[in-house]
Amino acid sequence: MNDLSKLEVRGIRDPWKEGLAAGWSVIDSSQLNEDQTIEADVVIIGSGAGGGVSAEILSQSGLRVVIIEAAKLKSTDQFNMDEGEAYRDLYQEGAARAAKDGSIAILQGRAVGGTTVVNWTSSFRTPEQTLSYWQNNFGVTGLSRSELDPWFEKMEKRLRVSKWAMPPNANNNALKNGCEALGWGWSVIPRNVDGCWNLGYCGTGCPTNAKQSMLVTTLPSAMESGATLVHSAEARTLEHDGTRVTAVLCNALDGRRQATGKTVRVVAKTFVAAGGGINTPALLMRAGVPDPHERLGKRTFLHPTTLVLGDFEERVDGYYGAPQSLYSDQFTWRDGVDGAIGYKMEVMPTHPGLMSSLIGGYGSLARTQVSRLPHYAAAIAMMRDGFHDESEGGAVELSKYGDAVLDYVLNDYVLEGLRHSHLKMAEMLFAAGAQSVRAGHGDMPFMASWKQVKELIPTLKYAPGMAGCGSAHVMGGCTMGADETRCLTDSEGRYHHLENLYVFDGSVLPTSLGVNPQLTIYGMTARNATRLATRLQA
Amino acid sequence: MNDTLALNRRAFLRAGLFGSALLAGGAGVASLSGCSTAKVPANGFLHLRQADIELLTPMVPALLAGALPNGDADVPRVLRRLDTLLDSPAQGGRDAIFQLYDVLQLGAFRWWTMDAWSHPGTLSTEQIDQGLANWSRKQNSFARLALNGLCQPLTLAWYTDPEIAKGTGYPGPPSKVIA
Repeated sequence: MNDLSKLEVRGIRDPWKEGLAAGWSVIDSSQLNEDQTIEADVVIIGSGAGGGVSAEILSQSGLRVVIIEAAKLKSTDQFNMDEGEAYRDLYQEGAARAAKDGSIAILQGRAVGGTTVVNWTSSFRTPEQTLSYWQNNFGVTGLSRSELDPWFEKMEKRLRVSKWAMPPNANNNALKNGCEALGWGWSVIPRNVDGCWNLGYCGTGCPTNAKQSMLVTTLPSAMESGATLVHSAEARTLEHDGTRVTAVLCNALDGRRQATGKTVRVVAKTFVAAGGGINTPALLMRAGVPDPHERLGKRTFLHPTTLVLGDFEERVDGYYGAPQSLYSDQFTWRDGVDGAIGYKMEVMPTHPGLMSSLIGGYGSLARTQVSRLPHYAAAIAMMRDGFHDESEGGAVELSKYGDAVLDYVLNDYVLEGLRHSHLKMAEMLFAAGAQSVRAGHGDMPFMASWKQVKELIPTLKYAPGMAGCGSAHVMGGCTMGADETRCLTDSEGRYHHLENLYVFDGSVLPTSLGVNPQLTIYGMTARNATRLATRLQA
Repeated sequence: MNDTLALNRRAFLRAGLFGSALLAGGAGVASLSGCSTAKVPANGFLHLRQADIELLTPMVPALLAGALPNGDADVPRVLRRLDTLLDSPAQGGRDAIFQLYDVLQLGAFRWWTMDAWSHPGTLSTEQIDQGLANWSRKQNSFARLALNGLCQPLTLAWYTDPEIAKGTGYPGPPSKVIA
């Protein structure tokens, strides 16, 4: 049996501890005793994939950059691989974010470094089919694959992206074995790691700095170039006159994410919204920015994701080892780009908190299933939403408290994909040698043969709350493109209706991607931030 | 009393017809029902109110059957962890959970989901388990979303306890030694 619990992770430096000692400009808003006003050339709201890359490029071009982050700074020394602590400190709403009706759990990071601190490192270039779809349907220009490839290459080099060279863990290996037995395609995932220890704790904050998240790459580099980080500061609104933004107003937050009553106001010439899907549209909605066609928050996509567990006789120990190292695109384009919903197949790690809540149910049956945890392979399928008239995604709304809520309804178009993926992943796990399989549906038990599963799944009711569904990728809500009746930013991320507001994050994506989104956001942001830097220096 | 019952029935109908909107931040059932629980957290808790504790205490041994190494004695620890977990969601998301706890105070809602009108505090663990079995078989989206809303936060809160996590066969994480 695989047991890493006796292993000690020691001798790892904490770049932020060192940086703070060296005099990096960091403001912990939770400690403020009075309101503050700060001036900058550019303020970047959010420090994830978009914010981190923007911060590095803009600060290195000589601009005075201020980075705003709602989360409290937490860095390497504090990454102790405790699941509960990580959800509380590093995820939106303590990992309890969900679609409005509760039908889709949404895992989204909330950290200095954003989701890049907790993602599972999969780094794919945007598929050509997706980029062509944007060009043809939204008038996106300059973002063909050949035009983006140099930017992907640059960011792959910057973040040490390469195909995982070590053997996959048994969880990933089940995907490979199943695909090979069925004659389905599979391949190796490129990961943004440097000297990875192969532990399996990407999701709780990398304890070894191997993951090249924004926290240990672009943000420290921006800090070295003189940027200021304001953390524990939640951007609540923008001051603007309908043509230009003049300031962003933030609430200082305490350790429980409650407003302390103190505010931070950043006055700048240029504003970059980089809070990611859901949060960026919500900020712009609170600010009442011009939105003549009421598009803010619309077309928010999730890659709705299904889970199928295979129970193997031998231990899988899916909580250990690189969490995602192999994938299959066998069904990603199963009905073309814009037909029935396609899905990419990967696996997910099986740490007990998350996995027991995904197993779901209650009582002795749930306990029996949870007790087999070390033996589960956990296959997932992420639906490519947004490529069909019946896949408009969700809409961001504001609660009466002004917080973001995502109204995303699992309709028949998406539910068909959930059912299809359950069938195919069950088939794959049986082919890989699982002794029993259960799809993530509340009415499905573990079943001992593919024949039984094949007969049961078509008879199950697929509806919200019955078929399990999650998301780890939030995209869209500030659609980019030339058509101003449908799009909010141009293809360089500039907001159509305000001169000095840019959106550099996943919220500009016109559809979901069909791949894990981080490299798309890195590459597009590198391009757009470089262009912005050139423009601001002119 | 009659007024309260009538209001309960109206609230129940709302729950059935507009269920997901209700769970998602619509009108609070407690305020409609007239059996509104106190809005203040119970002594020593950040969010859970006394009525929630009285509701959940008899249900936890059924919901987490087999996962409580010390049996009923673990229930207060479960509720503490749930309370801590509920501190993180945005206020709107937290409201939805408390609307579920409010609606569970209604006999009509319990009758619809669990085939049991009585408050869980008056039922045996076996009766509650039977009620949950009825609930879990309902082919109604709202009922199932509500059941998930009851079970999942409790499960996540409990299995993220490092000691309980090890009970699944998970050996635990490596240890981090700070330089």
